[in-house]
Amino acid sequence: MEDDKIIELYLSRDESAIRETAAKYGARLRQIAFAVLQDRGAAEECENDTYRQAWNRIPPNEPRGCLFEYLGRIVRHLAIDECRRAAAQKRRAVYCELTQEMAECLPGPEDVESRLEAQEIRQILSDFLAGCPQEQRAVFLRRYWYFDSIAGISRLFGYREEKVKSILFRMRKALKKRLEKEGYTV
Amino acid sequence: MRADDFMDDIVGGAEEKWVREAGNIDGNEIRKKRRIRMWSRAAAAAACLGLIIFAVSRLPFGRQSADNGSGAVGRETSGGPESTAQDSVIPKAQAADLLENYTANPVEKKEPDDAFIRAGYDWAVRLFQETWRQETEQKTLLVSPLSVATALAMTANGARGNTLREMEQVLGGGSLTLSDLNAYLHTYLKSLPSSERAKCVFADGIWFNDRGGFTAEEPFLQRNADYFDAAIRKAPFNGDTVREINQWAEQHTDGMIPELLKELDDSGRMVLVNALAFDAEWREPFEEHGENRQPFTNLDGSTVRTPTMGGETYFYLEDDSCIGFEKPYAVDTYRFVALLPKDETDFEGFIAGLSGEKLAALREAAMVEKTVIALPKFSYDYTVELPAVLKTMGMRDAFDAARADLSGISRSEPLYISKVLHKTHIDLDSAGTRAAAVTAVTVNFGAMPDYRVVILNRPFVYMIVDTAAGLPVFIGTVTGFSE
Repeated sequence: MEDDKIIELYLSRDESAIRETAAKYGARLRQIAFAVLQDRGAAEECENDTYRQAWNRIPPNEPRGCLFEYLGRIVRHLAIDECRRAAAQKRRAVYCELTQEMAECLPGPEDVESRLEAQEIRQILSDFLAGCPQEQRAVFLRRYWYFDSIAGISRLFGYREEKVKSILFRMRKALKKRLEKEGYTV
Repeated sequence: MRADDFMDDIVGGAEEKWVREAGNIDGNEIRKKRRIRMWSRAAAAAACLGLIIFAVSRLPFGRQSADNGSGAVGRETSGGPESTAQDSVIPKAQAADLLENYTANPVEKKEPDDAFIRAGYDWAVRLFQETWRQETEQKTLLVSPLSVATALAMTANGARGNTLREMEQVLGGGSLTLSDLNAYLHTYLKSLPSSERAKCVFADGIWFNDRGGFTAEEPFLQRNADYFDAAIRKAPFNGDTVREINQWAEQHTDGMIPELLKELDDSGRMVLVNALAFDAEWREPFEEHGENRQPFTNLDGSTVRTPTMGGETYFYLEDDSCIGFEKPYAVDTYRFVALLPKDETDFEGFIAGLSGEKLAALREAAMVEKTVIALPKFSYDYTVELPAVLKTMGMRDAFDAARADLSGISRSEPLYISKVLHKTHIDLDSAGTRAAAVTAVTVNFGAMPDYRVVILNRPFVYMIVDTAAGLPVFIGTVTGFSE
């Protein structure tokens, strides 16, 4: 079913909206949650919570033209929250690893004086991504937005794992330089 | 704000269009584009290289296979005893030698009884029948049910839920649980007699990937050390690991299987291997009177003359579908058993009609009568990928990345069985028999599929619709096809 029709179902409070969402995007949402949590059961719980949140948020929201990205953000946040809640070190490992990587190129939270600055950094990141070749941009987001493993990205793009690491390293370095140029201390 | 909140806030807020672009990325399309770029850059060089490859390919190197796929026996094949692993320096296959954390503890023993023997016969016959049925290239085949069962039982110790139930059903015929199989196989394998004139030895090994966040569950490794004396080794799963596993297999098959694996892919997490070597002299060797070539009618009806040995034995077999004999090796615990269908034209039907029960009954009814026999010498290698065979036998979930539950092997990642490779070798001549088998179960990381599957391979309804109004312009069914 087309996204707009699914959104119409949400707006008219038709519960089949959830069924249609699950049929169309369930596996991809579960994949995002699994990439963070590394736990099949927890990933499924996150997926179900995502449907509940979507049901509660649409309306008033109407994510026309970006339903998957909208749901993706919800599941991503839920998975990260769950990850923080999980006591087991193992379940946090993936997220910690990614945070550490990104800390190399983003200013620490203590260096950002206000949410306005955070907004500015988001814009810098967006401009930075816009200036990158498509493949590199996708590699970056597969890693830090979708939380894909290096091996997974390597399979998807047909690169050796070392090549993926090297692309990410160069991009983090370039992003750091860009932010420093804008006056941020990284 | 916490560092990870901050990272989440900044990166999580990336623009929708880039997120969508990365989410919809088509790996095949990217690889295709890259190939085109590479090829255009390399075009001139490729033209020159093409000429060189053509010239080299005309040189007469490379071994020509003697196998014409006709199912004929008596072919000379590669490998063989010359290429032994005499120089190999792989340590003895004891868990303690490789990873001192996993020394074998005493475990429950279970002497082979009727239940085990019945299940063993059933398993052997079903594995053989299904392998034969699915084999299209080399109908002269050889499988070792004991080797395959051992490698799968080791793996089953990490299976849970329906994955485990299916493995128990296939290996134990529905009557034996995994605990039974562990105890029976442990006792049986240890009880196999082995002497200088009739050697039968086995070894088990587990290699697991030490890269990334993969962690093997300790109880799983410990059970395999306890019940199967498995050598356990952490490895980087690169070319060195492939060489190490191959050397190990070569050593434990007395050089009969010099190469087991060609490579390990990036998502490989664990390889569980069983190796079995058999080398026995006949109790009564065949007499050699020069080369005696006798006619042999191949499966396709053609006739060839092949070196044949004559002799006698005192164990004759017969039932309504076949005649045959048993010929003892130097230690009578092992015998060679041959079955010749009475119906010369329906070998396929004869194999299909076998059953564990029938085979056991046939052997039990062996008659002690002097029997004159003639037997061709033969030597061949056989390789089979068993997943299709095992799936047909009922072991489905273990091979399905979305369904497999191998959480007993590791909880750090979802796993599934990607390969079950089985290789065998046999040399049978007037002095005796040398045979070997290796089974390698490869367990891979199984990412949850990000797509759904609809395969129209049974009756279905279809429509052609007008998408504006959503109304069907045509609606129909497809229920079958004629040949």
